[in-house]
Amino acid sequence: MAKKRSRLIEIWRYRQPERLLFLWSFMAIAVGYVLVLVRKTGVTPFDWRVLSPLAVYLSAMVIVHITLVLFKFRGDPMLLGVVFFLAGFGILAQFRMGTMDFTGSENYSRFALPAGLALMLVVILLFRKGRYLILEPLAVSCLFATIALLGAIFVWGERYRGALFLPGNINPADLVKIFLVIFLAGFLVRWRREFEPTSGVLPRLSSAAVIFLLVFWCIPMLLLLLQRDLGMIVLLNAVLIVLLFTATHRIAYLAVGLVSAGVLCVAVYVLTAHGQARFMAWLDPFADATGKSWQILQALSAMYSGGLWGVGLGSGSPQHIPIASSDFIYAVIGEELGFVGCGIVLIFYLVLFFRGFRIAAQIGKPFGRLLATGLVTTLACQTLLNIGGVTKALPLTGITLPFISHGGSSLLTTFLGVGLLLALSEKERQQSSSNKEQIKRAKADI
Amino acid sequence: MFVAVYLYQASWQLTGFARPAFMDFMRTYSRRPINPAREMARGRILDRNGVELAVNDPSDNRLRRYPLGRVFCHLVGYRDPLFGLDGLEAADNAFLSGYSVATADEVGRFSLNILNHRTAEGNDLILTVDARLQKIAADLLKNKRGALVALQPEDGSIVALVSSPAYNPQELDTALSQSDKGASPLFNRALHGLYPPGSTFKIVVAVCALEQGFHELLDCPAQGYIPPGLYRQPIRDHEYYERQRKGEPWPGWGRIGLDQAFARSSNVFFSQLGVRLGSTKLNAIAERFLFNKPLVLFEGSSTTISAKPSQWPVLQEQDSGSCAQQAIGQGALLVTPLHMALITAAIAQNGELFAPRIAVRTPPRLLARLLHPSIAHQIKRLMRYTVEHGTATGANIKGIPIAGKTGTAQASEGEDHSWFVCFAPLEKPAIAVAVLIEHGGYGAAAALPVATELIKKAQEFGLLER
Repeated sequence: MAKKRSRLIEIWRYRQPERLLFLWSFMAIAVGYVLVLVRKTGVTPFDWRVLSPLAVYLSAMVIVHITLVLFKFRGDPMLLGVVFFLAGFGILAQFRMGTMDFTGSENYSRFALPAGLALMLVVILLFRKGRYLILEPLAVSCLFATIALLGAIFVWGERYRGALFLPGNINPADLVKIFLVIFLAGFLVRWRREFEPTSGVLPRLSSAAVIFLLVFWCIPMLLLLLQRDLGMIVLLNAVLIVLLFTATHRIAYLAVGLVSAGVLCVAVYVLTAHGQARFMAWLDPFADATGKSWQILQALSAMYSGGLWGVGLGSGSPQHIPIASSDFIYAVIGEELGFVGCGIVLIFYLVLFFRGFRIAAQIGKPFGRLLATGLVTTLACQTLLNIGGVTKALPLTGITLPFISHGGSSLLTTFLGVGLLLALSEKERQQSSSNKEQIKRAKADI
Repeated sequence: MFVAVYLYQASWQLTGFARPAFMDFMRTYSRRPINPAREMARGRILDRNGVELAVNDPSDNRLRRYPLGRVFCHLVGYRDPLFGLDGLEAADNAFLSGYSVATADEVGRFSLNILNHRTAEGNDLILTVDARLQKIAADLLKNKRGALVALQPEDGSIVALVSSPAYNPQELDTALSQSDKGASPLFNRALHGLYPPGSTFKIVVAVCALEQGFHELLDCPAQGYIPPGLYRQPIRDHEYYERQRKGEPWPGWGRIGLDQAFARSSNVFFSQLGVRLGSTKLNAIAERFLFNKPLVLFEGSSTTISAKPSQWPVLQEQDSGSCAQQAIGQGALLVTPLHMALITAAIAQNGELFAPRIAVRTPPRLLARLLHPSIAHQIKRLMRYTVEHGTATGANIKGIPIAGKTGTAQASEGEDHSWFVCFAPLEKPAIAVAVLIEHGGYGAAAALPVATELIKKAQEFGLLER
């Protein structure tokens, strides 16, 4: 009993960074929340329900933290702290945008965060202690699940703002990211040798595994192309290239990836009017300033209005940017919190990614390593594509900003990924497992 | 990659004021209550005494106001949301918008603009031009086609630069849509107009002759001079044609020296002199006097304003006909008014040519030593003699010793172009002026009174004290 208690105290101490980060984040978010609140409603009449998102945030985080301590979770203690901050920032941003409706009953988005955290907890507890390895044999099934999912969307989907959604505005296409990362990790670990080029830069094209990947990778890409989800295609191919590189350690894959990305860009530009329009709006935004480039130019105008320090939380005018709460939330941050505020948010993202890649590097199992790398790459690419798009550094791809953009399915998928990453980060602890287990695992490794 | 994106973000978020198209978009289409683009103040353009030449419209800073309108249209140019930028507004756009970083002051302004860009300000551009003199010059050229350049020989400072006809920079749409034949009000004749220099070019030929130690008398008969070669048309003095029109006989000048020939502007003398000097010497002096080279008027923070290179067709060894023609400023030889003004200034400054200087912040710079001071001294004497006893006696006014040279250049069609280049006062030159009037006839008739009047006014304004 005493031993159990001391173990609990040990875990409590181990998870201290997470707790501290959360406390500081909560205070920062709470101050911001009150600022927005005062801006929005004035002081009277005060409705206590307006504080519910903040309360939900606080309680959800406390519950997650306590649960992890009670389950003696020894996964990375920093990662979740950073995620707490970004999630809180998302709440703040959505509350500011008015999409976090606390009085209406129709809106499900306020349940997105608790649901996402719950999902994350389940995933952590399910796959911790090396149990994620059960996903390895499911790799190919994940590929077929992806194709089935995309097919379903294609058949039953409804077009909204250029993208396909299932009835009820659910966009399960986000899940594709997780599925395909699992598939790639499993597949590449199994057939790694086949992808190591014998001569030159390209792998042997006669290999069955290479042909399988080429063919079956094209099917979901084609479905995505038909759905005009260019951003997702870019994202998934970036992940593919990074994972090929991680699995084989051949720099040639990066070069090949860059070249094929260039070719793909040209192809998209030449073949699709949709891609062409986005490309032109990117290259020469002032050619059609009041038409195709309206959104990006309004976003840049908002950021310029914000300048270095920003106009202050709740004082900006995001209503002038179309879809500000979702894809263009970064422009709102730029306007209200300024260049400095954007920098702080970016630092948190960077800490998240570095921490994520460190976790990946420390995993002993190749599958785990690839899976973690894939998950972090997905998040990093998504962030880069979104921020790059909003700042006009890259063409617009219609990809959401993880944790902060409005959108239930995006948030759920992000938390699913983070949950998996955290589960992966827990080392199979030698002290805790018996000798027998260790031998069993060692055999499994071989 | 994230750092690159973040830096790129800075180029919009922090230094967006360096993107004119973006600022125009924001001014027009951003309905935010906080709109720094609308509050941003572009720097003013001022003359040497602080007279405002270009300011922002107090009600809508998208619009520029030009208090002196047409007077400065070619030099200052315009900044228009629809038609873009021209003139100094274009050349010094970065400085005026506050994002140039050439000097410590400018860096300071730039940094301040980044820190607090809601009140981003540009720098004021102060010109060496005197608005009073510029206005006088513009009035003198009104209803004429031509150009005037006046500068200070001691440092190259431009005090007036006018091209006529002018347009109203406030009403660009009418100015741009006009289709009047040949008037081309948007065309800056002072910098880009190429004209045969006529007799004003005899200054350059005289320099060449004096450098060769030429001090002979040449026979200048009434029937003119026929240079050896294929082209057998005689070159005659214009007195011959004048007398002929009146039905009177003219005996010709007889045997005269350089001083008489210069003062009388004898084509017969100078064409013979040109053939004697030969193609090599003439080519060399033309090159030294910066022919066929672009003359930079202003190196702005964004672009450079240059004059068109004057055209000196390089003479072939046996081509005496062209030697004769180009020695009297005809043939295929073409110059810009700015170039003629600079040559005059270099003579006045004893051979030192200072680079033209339009902004006070540009330090004076010696561009070249065109000729030896002793030669320059002799040319100055010749030019003074021309005013006292030669073709330019109209410029012999009381109180101000002017030295000058007239020019009557045959145009390809219509009346001759009228030139007058001069400087004053003789001993301590403070101003050099070149005036060109398209199809104005005799240099003494059209261009000379303009220059003389300008110098009188310059004295009134105290510009002749050095």
